[in-house]
Amino acid sequence: MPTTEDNMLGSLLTALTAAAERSRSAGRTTSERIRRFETEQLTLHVLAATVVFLIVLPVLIAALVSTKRAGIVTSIGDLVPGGHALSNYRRALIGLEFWRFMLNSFVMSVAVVVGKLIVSLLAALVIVYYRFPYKNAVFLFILFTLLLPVPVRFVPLYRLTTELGMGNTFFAITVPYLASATTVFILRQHFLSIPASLVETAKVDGVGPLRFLWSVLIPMSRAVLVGVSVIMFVYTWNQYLWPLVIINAESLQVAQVGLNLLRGQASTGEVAWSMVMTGSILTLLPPLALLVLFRRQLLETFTIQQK
Amino acid sequence: MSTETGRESRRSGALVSVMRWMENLSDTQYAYLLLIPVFVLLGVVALYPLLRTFELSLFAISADFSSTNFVGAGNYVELFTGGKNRYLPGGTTFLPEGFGLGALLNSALVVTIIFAVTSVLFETLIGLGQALILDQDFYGRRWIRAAIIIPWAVPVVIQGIIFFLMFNSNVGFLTPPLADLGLLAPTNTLNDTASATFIIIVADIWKTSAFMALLILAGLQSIDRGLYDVAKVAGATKWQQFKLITFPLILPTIGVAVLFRSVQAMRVYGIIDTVSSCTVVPSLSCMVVATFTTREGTSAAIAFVTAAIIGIVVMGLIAWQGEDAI
Repeated sequence: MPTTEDNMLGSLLTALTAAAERSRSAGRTTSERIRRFETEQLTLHVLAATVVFLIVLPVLIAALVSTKRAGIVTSIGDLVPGGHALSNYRRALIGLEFWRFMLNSFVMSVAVVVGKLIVSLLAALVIVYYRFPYKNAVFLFILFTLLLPVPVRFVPLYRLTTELGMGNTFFAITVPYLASATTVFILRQHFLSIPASLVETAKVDGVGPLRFLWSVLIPMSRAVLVGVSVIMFVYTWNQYLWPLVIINAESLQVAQVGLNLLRGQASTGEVAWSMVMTGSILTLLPPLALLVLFRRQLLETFTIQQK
Repeated sequence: MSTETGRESRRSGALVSVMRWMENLSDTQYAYLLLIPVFVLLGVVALYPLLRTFELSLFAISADFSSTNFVGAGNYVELFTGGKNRYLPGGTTFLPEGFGLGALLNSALVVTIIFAVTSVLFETLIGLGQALILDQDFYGRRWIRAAIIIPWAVPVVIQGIIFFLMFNSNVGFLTPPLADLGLLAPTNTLNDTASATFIIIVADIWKTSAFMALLILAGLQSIDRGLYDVAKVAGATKWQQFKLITFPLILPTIGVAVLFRSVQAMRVYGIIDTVSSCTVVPSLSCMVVATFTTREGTSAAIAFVTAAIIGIVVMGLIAWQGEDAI
């Protein structure tokens, strides 16, 4: 009888918890408990602050160096901000045409996010709410692509794109990214937590799947949709290898490749290392801004991958 | 509902007839109709390339693409017997040519496995530590959680540049102290295979630990707090609580996180290319990229071996954790 057993376990747990509560409050005076609580809080804050500091340190160093003239850091003492912030950022954006790289990256990322969202929403909707033959096979097939390493697709995809004459176009840096197993996976996990009875009711009421998606699922999943969009945007914005090989025209190139060009110039001494850091911080700003703006939705989405 | 249908029927043209056609489909037909976009895309950008890669790996293709000869498993045989090493960049090899440290670190297969195992291990341990801190209740923890995902948002090129500058032997301020400890080569640090591999692993741990922490944190927060109260009554120490309650309950979560990360780590490329170079730190993906313009058949064979290794890792982890993991 599992139910009785559960009940017994439940009441045992409550009794023990109550006992624990009693023994804890009996053992110490209030001031003692507050003091203990305060030390614990202090330790936690110190630990957390150390972790955060170590994590953010490299980015802070980059931001510091981007305000200097030469950008050579040979000792800890060199890590003070310089006075060239404005001129560095102006030169990167206008003189080195970073505005164009960033615009290209931005358009590419938005296009990929919108396309991916539509395709993945349809797939997740079907996988969660419809019973049809080979359903599990379909889901496994989608998941399988998650495991395909990029280089495996690289060689044929390069051939295909160039043979179609799409080598140097906007098309080449968006369409290959539209299919995403990760997004389908996250959306599926989230939809699973929405009761199936909803879709039954909708079916009885004669509401079609697309209408159901639009007026029930999407409003119910706003946070996750925002979170997943941020993940997709950051992922696309950070793409480097594929745009590098498939795009030849510098006017079409994306920020990551532009940044690596700048890095190459710095290695040969054409520009100062501080300019590279300026470019890095510029390239880092959009993902960072999204992270700060949508941190709540993003954290919620990250935890979904688990369920 | 009736006004809705009334309005629909007054509309005319192609859209309405398509809508009407769709309404008359059975559930199964409708389901497959909605799956068409994802099928087409996955077919074109994933399944077709995979099959094509396999096909290409069966041919010897000359550098100028003028001759293509079917060699069957020839590329694979040569790859595993060392015959392909001459096409790999900078004297690197596919399998190690000996058991000394130098020979091991010269092999793309060994370096990829060392990288994957070490970085995933440390990321899991550090991520677990961070998650245990973040699981505590303290003021400002939501902001700290947001702060620790910053490295995840940092593009690999920037990550590369930052670590390059920190560890470059001419200008990097971190090289001298670490070289004094004997961890890094004092000069030409990023061209020294052992040092560069070490730095790349550190860079990867920096970028991904927090991501692991968030995944593990989700598992920690789903644990019933009552269990700890029971444990306290029973007089369990903090360590016993961790060993007997926390760890077993988050093990499945850790399994999934390790699975996702291992798949990613096995295909490492970007951080190697930006911090050091593929000739110094050879990885399997590096070899694919380095050979694909000159030796397409070889490149395809390496790519397919990489995919197979990843497949084995995934199946191993799923077998360990059971299918519930996914």
